Amino acid sequence: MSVLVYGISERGERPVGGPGLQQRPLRGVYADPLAAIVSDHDDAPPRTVETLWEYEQIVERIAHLHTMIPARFGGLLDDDEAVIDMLRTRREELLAALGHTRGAVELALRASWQQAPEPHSQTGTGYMRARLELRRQAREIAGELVPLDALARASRCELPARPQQPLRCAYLVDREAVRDFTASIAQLDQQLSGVELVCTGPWPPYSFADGVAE
Amino acid sequence: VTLVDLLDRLLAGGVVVHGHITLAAADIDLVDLDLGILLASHDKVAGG
Repeated sequence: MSVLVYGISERGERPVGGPGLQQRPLRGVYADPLAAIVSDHDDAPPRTVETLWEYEQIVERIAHLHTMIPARFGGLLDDDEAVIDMLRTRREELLAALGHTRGAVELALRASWQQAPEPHSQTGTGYMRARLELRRQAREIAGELVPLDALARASRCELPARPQQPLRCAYLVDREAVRDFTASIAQLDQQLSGVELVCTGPWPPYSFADGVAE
Repeated sequence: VTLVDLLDRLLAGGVVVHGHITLAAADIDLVDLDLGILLASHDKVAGG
């Protein structure tokens, strides 16, 4: 029997319960002041879309009741001792992440070209020049999004290697500021030409689980 | 909510508590790989 970890929280007054993946009951494993929210499984859960959605819904349900940093999908440890060892070994890092994300949610933002470009060329040099030009344009879009940083507790942006998607970002936003934040994105989406901004969330703070402020 | 955002978060974000997860070092390419596998799996389920 192995232990699947859904996230790390602090020991609180609210008990941990309800169903986890495959209807296995959720429970807490404690190493004060931290708590890991887990369920017991014979095998690793299957990596299917359906299971990922189910996992996300469970994490959201837990995050609604507890301040929690979510665990990456598939975090399976041998037994409670291994969980307690992990909580003790990484105590400071996990407490920092909990402190950094408390009261905040994550919003995902992706920019897509309205007309998907394909950097085709007869020559390798021409192809690389076209890719570099797309990269330059992506940096310009990133510059247009800078005002959003002021509305977020933290942000992370990257320029993916895929030419079709110039930019993807994650923002850690105070719960009460989500409405203003999404309104600002809608405004930017109207102002920017050639790209479409897609915002999803609120998510549990997956992209800020390392506790590093940026 | 889009699948790519779900994959970005669940497979490349979050606290890594398992030593065998290898996605942390080069998440983009491997998440893309996972996306292909997962979509294939999903299509198979949907079609089957």
